[in-house]
Amino acid sequence: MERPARYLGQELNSVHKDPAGKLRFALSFPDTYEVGMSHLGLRILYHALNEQEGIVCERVFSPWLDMEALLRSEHLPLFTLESGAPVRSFDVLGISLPYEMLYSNVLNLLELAGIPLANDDRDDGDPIVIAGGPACFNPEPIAGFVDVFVLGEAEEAVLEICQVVGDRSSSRRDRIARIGRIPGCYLPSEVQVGTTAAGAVAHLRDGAGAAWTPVLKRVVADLDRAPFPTRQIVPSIPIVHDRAQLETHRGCMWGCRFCQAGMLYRAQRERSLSTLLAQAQEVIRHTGYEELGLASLDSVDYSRIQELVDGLNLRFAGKHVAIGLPSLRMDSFSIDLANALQRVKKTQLTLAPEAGSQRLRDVINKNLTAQQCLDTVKAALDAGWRDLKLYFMIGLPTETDADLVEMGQLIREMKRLAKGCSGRPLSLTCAVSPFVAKPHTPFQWARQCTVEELCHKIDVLKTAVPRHAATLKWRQFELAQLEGVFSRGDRRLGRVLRTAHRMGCKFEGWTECFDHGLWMKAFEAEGIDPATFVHRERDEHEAFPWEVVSTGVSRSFLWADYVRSLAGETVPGCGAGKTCAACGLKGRGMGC
Amino acid sequence: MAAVARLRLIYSKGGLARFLAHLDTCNVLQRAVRRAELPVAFSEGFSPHPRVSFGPPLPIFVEGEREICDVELVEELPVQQAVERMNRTLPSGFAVVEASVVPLKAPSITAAVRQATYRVAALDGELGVTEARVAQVLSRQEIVIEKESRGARRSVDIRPAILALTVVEAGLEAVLEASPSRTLNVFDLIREVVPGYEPAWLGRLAVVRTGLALAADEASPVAPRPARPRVP
Repeated sequence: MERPARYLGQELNSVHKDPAGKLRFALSFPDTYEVGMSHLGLRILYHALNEQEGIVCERVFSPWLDMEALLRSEHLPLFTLESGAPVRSFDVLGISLPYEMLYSNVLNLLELAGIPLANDDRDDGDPIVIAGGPACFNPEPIAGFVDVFVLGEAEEAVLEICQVVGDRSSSRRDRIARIGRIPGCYLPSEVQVGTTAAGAVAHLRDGAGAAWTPVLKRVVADLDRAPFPTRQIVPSIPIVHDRAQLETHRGCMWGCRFCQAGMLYRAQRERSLSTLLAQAQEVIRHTGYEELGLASLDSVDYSRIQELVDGLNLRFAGKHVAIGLPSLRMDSFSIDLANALQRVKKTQLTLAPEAGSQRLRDVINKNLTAQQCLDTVKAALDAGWRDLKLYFMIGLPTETDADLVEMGQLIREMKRLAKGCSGRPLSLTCAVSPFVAKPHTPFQWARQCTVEELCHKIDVLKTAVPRHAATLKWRQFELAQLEGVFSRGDRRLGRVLRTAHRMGCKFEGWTECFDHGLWMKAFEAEGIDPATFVHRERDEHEAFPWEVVSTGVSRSFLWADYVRSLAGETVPGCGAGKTCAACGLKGRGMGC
Repeated sequence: MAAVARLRLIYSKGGLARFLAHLDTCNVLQRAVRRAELPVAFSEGFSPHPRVSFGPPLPIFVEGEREICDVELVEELPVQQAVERMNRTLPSGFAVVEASVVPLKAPSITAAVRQATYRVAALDGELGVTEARVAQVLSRQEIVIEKESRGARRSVDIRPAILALTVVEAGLEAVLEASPSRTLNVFDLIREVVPGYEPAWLGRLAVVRTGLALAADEASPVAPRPARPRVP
């Protein structure tokens, strides 16, 4: 078996409790151990739950193909890592869903655990299946498989749920109904979805026939008082993000129109400098990690980032702890900061211009000029970096071949800056990903390009970006197409999902497992055309399936922002000293 | 800072930790050294690494009772204190059982190691290796097996690397060469000695490396010790 250590559960700082008399919570991430353990949200919930005396929380990940084969051939039920107990024996199964392409693994996980796939088929012997994470902001494609969705930041809501579950005097059905009254919890069984003749969503009603009130997401108001694990589990095998993590802030103030996280995590809230410095010291002491990563959507936006970096450098000077910034804005301040952190070894630096032309950067509200891009690259070259990775998107709304040609020009200009610089030549890698329109963003109305259109764009880019200037990289577009379908799909997709699962679809994020042909067969078998979810511009007043839930950002703001976008108008970021763009969050207890 | 002392840790690795590969084991120990705040020396250069070095890899599935690891220190500290600090922070399955200070200039563990002693037992009863079987194996002039490394197959005579083989109450005890010039994987021996062995047996075997012997000119040879309580 490949890497048996994935299934041992004996890692340093893992929590092992006697379950007698306690509420048992199985926390799962439906991908491999290495991916799941890299997810900060999972770590936060694991420790928040285990901090409670009356709760024992244990982890479970998707077993890799070899382990799955073993479980099936030996008729063994899926088990949790800490105690090896069957997942089905737990009171709650919590599933973390940061992206849509884990859905087939959710079904597989339920099946391996011996839990009925359909929520209607479960009884008192089954755990209550709850799901949370960004993908749940369109819960509808998996509405038939989940009992409760938790919207937004779950560390408080999950404890409230446990309180209800712990009351064993009432039935499973009653307890689920009571959970539905907890703010941020959505029960898919409570909404009546009216459909058009074609099967699309026509209207959403509640049990009494009145217009459905979308379930508003949860937000942790005071991050300093929110639980944060300093005894982070140290996996014994390398994982994707193998480092200690610190969370500086949540939310992003920039409002890029393609970015769902930017809309979901509003408003921006910070941890205080003193909390962060204290947590940094503790987490390194308890883990022995050689690297500390600053997690956030945009680390440089932390209001006291310079003091934080100086403080961390001071504390860890001579202790050989590297500080990592996962995301960098394109400005010279960011470069200075990265330079202060990587004084000796200059590894690859990643920057995200997202679009090649000024017009298109305005359409997506990137608030970035070509000159800023070039200045950033110049600063990086001066500081000694010679290896840059650039993130671009293709297939953005309104994009034409001319925008792609401009991307080529920008890259060539960057390359030209390196002329006359001493040392190694500049190596540029351009990672190109296709645009996926996400719910709850201004682009939720937009049309997504077909695979053929995207291939044409790549052909244009290949000419615009000569091979000696940069290496172009892209992944298969079919996966992004499918992600788009599930991002903006509705309950009909549950049938497709079931069929695809039955046909053997799983681990969609792994090239060796993703089988696009099989998915297309599943769509065909269910008589559903995936194109209708992605390749059409949506009408201003069209009812959206994901409006069963709300991020707090209003539909009218999103539409107005979409209209602005098509006109190439930008809005400045929010925050101190800026004009409020009135996204709808203010005054709703969302930290704004 | 330059190292002033070399601390030699003798540690055990057992229970579920036996499923950890060698490189993962190295990581676990290096991070434990950092948590224990031993004053470890770091290498110079672009990416400084803690100067911690290890003995020959222990195959996955094999427990180790007396594995060796050297830690170079920039300041001295009482040996007992180092042991206690390590044991307070090592994850489940690992324990430091002994420590000593060796000269900085002493050869590295990989250069000094000569022999490894193993104990092989069946978890569910008899291993089925008789005295006669052992005698028969030892009487052979050569034992040629097929090895595959980097895609190329080659024949190796493993007989010279079998230094001793005895039937003991628990099963089998073997002393195998483990030197810079030649090492023998214990499973290559098991395949030859245990009648009808097949890989599916793995779960039924308890394989323990009980000790490593270093060259005689070493400061502290680490010979296997007689029976003593197992570290949990």
